[in-house]
Amino acid sequence: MPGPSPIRRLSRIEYNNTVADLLGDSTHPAQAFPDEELALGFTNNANAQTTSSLLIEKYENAAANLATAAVAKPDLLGCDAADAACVKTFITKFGQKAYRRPLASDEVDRLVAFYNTSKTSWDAATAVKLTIQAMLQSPHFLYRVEAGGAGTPGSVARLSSYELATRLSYALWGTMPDATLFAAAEAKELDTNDGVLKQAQRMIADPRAKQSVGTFFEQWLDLAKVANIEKSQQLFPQFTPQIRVLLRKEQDTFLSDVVFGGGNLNTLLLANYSFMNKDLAAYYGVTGPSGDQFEKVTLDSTKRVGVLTAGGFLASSAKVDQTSPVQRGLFVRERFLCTTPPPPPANVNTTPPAPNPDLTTRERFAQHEASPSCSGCHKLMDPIGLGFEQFDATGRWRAMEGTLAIDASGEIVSTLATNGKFNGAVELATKLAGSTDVSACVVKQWFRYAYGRSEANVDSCTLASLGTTFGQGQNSFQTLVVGLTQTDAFLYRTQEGAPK
Amino acid sequence: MKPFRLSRRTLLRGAGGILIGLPALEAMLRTSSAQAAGPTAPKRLVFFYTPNGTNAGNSEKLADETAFWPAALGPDFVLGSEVAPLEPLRKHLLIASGINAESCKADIDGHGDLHSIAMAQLLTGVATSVDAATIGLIPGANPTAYGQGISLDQYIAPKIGANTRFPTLEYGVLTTTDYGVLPLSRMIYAGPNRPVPAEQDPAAMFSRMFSDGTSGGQTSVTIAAAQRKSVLDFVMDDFARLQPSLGASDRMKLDAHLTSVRELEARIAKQVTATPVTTASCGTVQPVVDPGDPMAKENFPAIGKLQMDLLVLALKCDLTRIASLQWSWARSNLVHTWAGVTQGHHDMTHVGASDELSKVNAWYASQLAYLGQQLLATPDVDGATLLDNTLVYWCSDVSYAYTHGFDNIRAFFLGSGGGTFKTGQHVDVGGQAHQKLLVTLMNYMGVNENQFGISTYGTGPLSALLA
Repeated sequence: MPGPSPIRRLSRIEYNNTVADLLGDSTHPAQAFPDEELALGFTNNANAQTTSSLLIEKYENAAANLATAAVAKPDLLGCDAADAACVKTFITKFGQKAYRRPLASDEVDRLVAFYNTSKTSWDAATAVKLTIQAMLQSPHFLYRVEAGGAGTPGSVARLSSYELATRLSYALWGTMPDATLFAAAEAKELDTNDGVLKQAQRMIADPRAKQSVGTFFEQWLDLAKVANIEKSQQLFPQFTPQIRVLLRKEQDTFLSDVVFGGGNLNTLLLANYSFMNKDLAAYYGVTGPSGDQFEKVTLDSTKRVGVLTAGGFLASSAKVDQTSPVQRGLFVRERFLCTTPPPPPANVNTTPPAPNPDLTTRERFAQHEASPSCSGCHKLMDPIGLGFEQFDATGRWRAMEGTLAIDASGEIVSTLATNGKFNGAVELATKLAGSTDVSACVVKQWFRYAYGRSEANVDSCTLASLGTTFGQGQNSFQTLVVGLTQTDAFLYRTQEGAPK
Repeated sequence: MKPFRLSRRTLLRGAGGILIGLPALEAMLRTSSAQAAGPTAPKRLVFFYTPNGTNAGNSEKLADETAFWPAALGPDFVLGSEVAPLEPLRKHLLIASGINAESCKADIDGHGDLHSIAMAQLLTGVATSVDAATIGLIPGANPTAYGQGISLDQYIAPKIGANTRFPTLEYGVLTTTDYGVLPLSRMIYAGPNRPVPAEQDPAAMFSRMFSDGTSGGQTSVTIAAAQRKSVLDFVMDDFARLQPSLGASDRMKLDAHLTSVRELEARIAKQVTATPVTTASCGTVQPVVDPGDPMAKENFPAIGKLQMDLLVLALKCDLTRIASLQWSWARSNLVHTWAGVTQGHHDMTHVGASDELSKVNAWYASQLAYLGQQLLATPDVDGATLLDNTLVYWCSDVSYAYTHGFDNIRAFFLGSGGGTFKTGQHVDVGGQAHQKLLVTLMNYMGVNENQFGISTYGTGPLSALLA
């Protein structure tokens, strides 16, 4: 069973990419659209795509600017704007790309009639411009309309070839289909699962897949936070604004390498390498890179491995002047184990105790364990976060906390398959890499991002089959991304209105 | 850039070097004939939100209460250190103690972040009242829900009979949280789960306020409006044709879209049909040029000032009668370095009273004072000042941040609203629900209904606020 298919509007990123491909735009007009609502960690959730007057005005404005730029290009039509037959051909061809499917003849007729009326009212060039302007505000452009065998409520139908081309292109590239995909749709190649698979395999190998995968990681792992990290300059003078930029670049470079270098979940969590330039290497105290360019460096894998020991994560999940076992533990819990502890109860002081040279962080946070009102939830987070204590608030390795010895032992509790004790971040990462909870969570996260919705009960088969695909592919990310195009949830849709 | 007079031929260079034509502005203005007949000024309502309540309260962890709330009632109140910047405006100031967000209390148990609850209810008056995991846009997606009702400004806008270009305008200063857009970012609602985003970029806001859709001023207002209308008509027809093939929830979503397109078309039509007048009442306009990145924290004060200037201009030019300005977001942990502060705002509220926290409150009070002074310096059509005919409501989310309290929520007001409200007074309403405050504001704007939000908490206005 496919689960719900709520209608999806182009996200800001998708809008920009689409008008770039459709019209050669380089102004990225969606930058000016209102910020998108965050839901389950992602900004493309269909149910969170609310409409406001502000957004509608921005659509109108963007359409006017894009159409004005388009008609200024001499080669847009290839003929005189007053040549009605030629304009009809343009509308048919351009419409097919803009609506991502061939236009029905009555749709073409309506657009041509609109052009003719506008030409009479104003002039031919204006009429072409207004026609483009209208198409760019049409629901068929702004939304991914799927009629998919529009049948009785509750009936399940496979998506049309063009609808699948669109799902493929936005899932893998975050933009409209390219000529090859359109050709495959026209040739009905996407009516078979193998046809879809073939395209997905082509697309994951294309550089255009990098942005979409990068956006997934940015939102799943909250990478945007790195640009906002603030640290006490008194305590951490080496943490400069430039370091923030380098820490983010390290994460982006590493994550891209994991996916497109054929890596898997193990690589993500346990890789003994990263990417740094001279300045970042000096920051970490790693030798090797000598220039401004990022280079692959081998890490001391007794201290650092994979994405959870990246400075960007460790520093952004920490306070201005001290580490935060709560934030670090919560991050692992939410993002890798897919469980969200409830927010703190009312009327408690949620500010950590001030740093104290005579007490370790672990000792200062002991109240969370001692107080019954805190321990219920904090035992889910703190004992995981305390495993990172060998990294200071800026993500650098520390052998001691001031003059005090560090105890980096930790424990995971209340999971299906990951419970147990560990010592330090490397052991934690090893534990997570071998956990079926984590692989299932990664599948779930990618499901939410690629399908633009939260999972429903009816998706259990899709999630299970994705889990199997991921596992059989040795947890390779490319296998997972391609596998996302082979599920019931991707290939089929249920006509809305079905009894729950 | 020097100020300029608005005229049919005026062009100005907006941010990014785009030429913005202003010819239609005169059509947005009040009619000069109304002035000749001895004008009465319209009433305006402004919501001025700043986050995280205050720490003034009666606990050892809290500041001397009088730092924020005056001890004395009546006209002889003394403004404490956190609200001292309002002293020059004291005769325009109304302070109302004893308003409680009772409905928020119903949501405390297990319903998530209390700042978020307060934010969702502040102007909707509707409690979320069910488990956060089962409501909201996405089940389980957020620690709390979006507002579950329409906010007061959106509710009354179509009912006040104002023929202004915008029913409401929403100004924001860095309202997106460090984590993205959450219910903590949203105060204004078009309906349940329908947050209305604020414009955070003053350059975009300027162009929104004053652009009429003509590019480069080469097309006349009438033609530009006719072209936009024809495009939107076609688009609306597209939506209408698509609707029947959609399932119920998709149809609802596209219906909301279609409604907004229809509203946009109505606004465009107003540009043409409104009686053209001179620019006398709008005066000179300082265009917003290169305001800096509105998402950069260091630009917070500068962006805020530009937004306040634009808000005053919107009222002055009668582009709208209802506006809101939201500074940051509920539970914001912004470090107000420009106010001499080194710690995050929310973090500080949970430590207790501190000089730095007082500095944050006083800084926001000084921003309100700036807005008040600008309104006071602007003559209104009836010969009084804009401030005289406006009510500015300084609101926040929780009342006492340290305890996440909901009693005695922030309720400072500037302006008498054309003589409707007491000024120069500190009153105590003695523990009344904030739904009654919303009714008071609604009645003030001429919508004579007796309840708003959840009426079981209270109906009718707070008469103690009225002159």
